[in-house]
Amino acid sequence: MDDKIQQKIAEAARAEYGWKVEEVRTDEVERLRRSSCSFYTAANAVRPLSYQANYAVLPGDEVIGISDPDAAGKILDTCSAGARADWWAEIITRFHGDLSGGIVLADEQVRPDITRKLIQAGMKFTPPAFSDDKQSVSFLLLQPETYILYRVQATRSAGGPIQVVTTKLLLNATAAKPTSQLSPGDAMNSIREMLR
Amino acid sequence: MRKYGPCASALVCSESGGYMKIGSSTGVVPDWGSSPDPAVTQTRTGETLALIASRLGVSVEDLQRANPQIGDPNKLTPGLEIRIPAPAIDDSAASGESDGTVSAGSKYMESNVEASLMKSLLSGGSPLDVMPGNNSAQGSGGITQMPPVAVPLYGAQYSEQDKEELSAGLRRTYQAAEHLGVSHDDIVAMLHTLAGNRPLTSEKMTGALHLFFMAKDLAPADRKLVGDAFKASHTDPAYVAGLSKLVVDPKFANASTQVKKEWLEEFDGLSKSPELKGLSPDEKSIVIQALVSDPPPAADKISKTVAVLTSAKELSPADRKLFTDGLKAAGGDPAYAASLKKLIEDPKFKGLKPAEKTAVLSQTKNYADAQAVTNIDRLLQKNWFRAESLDDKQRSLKTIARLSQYPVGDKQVINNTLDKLLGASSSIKIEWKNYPDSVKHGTTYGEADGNVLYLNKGKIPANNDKLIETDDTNHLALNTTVHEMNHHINNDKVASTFHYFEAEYRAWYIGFKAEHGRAPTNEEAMDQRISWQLNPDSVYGKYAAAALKNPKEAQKFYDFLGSVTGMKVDAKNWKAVVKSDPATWPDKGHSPAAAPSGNIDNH
Repeated sequence: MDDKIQQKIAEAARAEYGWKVEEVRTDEVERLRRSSCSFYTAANAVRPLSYQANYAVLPGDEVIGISDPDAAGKILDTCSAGARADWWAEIITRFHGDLSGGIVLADEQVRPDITRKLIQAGMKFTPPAFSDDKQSVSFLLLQPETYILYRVQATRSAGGPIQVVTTKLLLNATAAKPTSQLSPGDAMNSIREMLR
Repeated sequence: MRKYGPCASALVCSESGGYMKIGSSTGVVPDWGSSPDPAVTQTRTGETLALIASRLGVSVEDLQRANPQIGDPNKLTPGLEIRIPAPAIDDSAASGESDGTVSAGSKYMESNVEASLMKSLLSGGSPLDVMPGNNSAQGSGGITQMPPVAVPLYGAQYSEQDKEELSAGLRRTYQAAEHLGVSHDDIVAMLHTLAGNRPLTSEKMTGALHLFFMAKDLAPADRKLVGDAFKASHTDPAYVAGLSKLVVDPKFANASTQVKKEWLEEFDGLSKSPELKGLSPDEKSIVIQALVSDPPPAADKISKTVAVLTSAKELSPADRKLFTDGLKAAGGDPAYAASLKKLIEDPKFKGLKPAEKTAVLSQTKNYADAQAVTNIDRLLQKNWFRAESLDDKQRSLKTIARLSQYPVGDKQVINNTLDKLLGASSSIKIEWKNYPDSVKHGTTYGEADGNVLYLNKGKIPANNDKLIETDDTNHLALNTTVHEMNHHINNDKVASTFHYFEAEYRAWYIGFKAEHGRAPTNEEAMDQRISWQLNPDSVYGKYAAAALKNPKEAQKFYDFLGSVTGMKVDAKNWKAVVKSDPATWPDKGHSPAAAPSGNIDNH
């Protein structure tokens, strides 16, 4: 990796997350690379963090991250020619402020556990796909911290911002279930509802 | 609308001006089958033939045919024997013989018919529209919809609107009581009492239903005690609410009938204590709730609660309302009251600005729980908290209160975490941090760095509301705080080792316990964490990938995966094992995951 690029990313991470420049670890996400654009993650090499930052380096060595509210749009404008739907999904997941991370399920084998749970729930796995008019991309996104599966639909109107709509598909509800008997408070609420 | 005379509706005049009886066979509480001869009944004061017909569920014509000795059907002598013809309205009750009289041994019929009448009335339209205004109702069509409820008149005249509202209220109450599974006898007793408690407000109906629902699993003799207590003071909503709280208390439920009787008498006497005079309705309600907390009722509970209320005199009116609302929400819990009193008398509380006091009292009300208040009080002792902006104070307050009061989580883990954070010797502070993805589904919740627990400002709204429970707010308050504190306690550092992998797994494991109240299963551990920690796309996965290049470290990973799946794991198959279906594992993934090494309860 170019030292200059690495330094610029470390500076961006310092500005956005308050990390020390010398503690920033930078890795390229090679599978996202396009002819004119490259993509990186930045993490803190000292603190045990669950998250990492995403940066894109656009032509002219412009470093762009999620602090730019139109980061995803700029990247798509600049780098998306001929890109597949799963690439679009990755860019929107990493650079749209409403998402900013998660696991794009590009195929059934990315997370077989999710595929199994979808089937158990009477649904089926669908890979990222463009709409017929190519205005939007739809994909499954797993948030690993909460283990919640979303369907994401991202739509880009001409010249406008990218609108992201998320629908929760699977919630791994593991919390203890309430007792079947009504508590006094529940009973009171039920009674009020009945008398309403 | 039809017009009725004063004695021609569901409200039937009695000569004495006392109770009138509508459909019931005895006084306020019906005594099913009290007639000495099931084929015969006796007329009661004020009854007409039409009323008897309605009580029995037969038509006036049938009744007249079976009793040709009756002259004027509107002037019946009390105690007159009336032969009961078979009813035509209820197949299940129609055990009458073909000669038109009811067979011996069908005592059940009367109650069944009466229940049927009540049901018919209360689930149908307005009974007043079908009342036999001049006793001229024909057949079973209209008159069968009269309620079997005794209504005390107190000599007053009631408007049509009064009657309709009463009937509608009784009908709704009946339907709700039946839905709640309250026994028929209790329903009737409750309706009779409520019928004399006009205006019949929603509050009264709700209070009565709640009481009888809470008491429904008691023995019949005990329920009668409760019903009598209700009858004695049913006009006082605070008293009825106190009764509800008392009867549901396990100590009350497990007490003998004699002890129950004594406690109910004690409650009745103390609830009329002079100390309650001059209190607002809310304050009185609080005192009565305290009185029945942890029975038996005792006088000192009143004085202590009144002292707590008095301690709030210096608060602003708005804050005082939050204070009393909290006490009400806590249902008179003495521990909550004591904690709240201690908090508002604390110099650190008194030193807050007005808006900050409101923020504190909002959360003591929203989380009306003694432990939540105690932890908020501990929060007030922290210099870092008092130095926070109002917005961040609001975030800290609701986060701590939510975690303190969370009923589902592992209490030991949660309490240890709060002790580590809020204990007198703690040097850890919360700092609310702006992250670039402080919106919507961003994956950043917080982090531990040195003595600072950073939490994502964007996840917790700054206001005085209760924390809105979403995936995000729950995860931050219930899981992230515990997870990151675990990193702090274990002094975890990032490294390309199995040790660091396990540190992250441990922090997740304890966060899971705090949020779900149990250890994860092996399947949950694999799906929700381990596979992510081994995914090179994740921040953890990069370090794990480096560690796996070291054979000695790699073997620790294989052993760990083997312990989770029960499979033999090595360099060749570990990736396949991570993606394998738990159904193929020896224990199918159902066993609780083994506890990781290190501090796993944040002690």
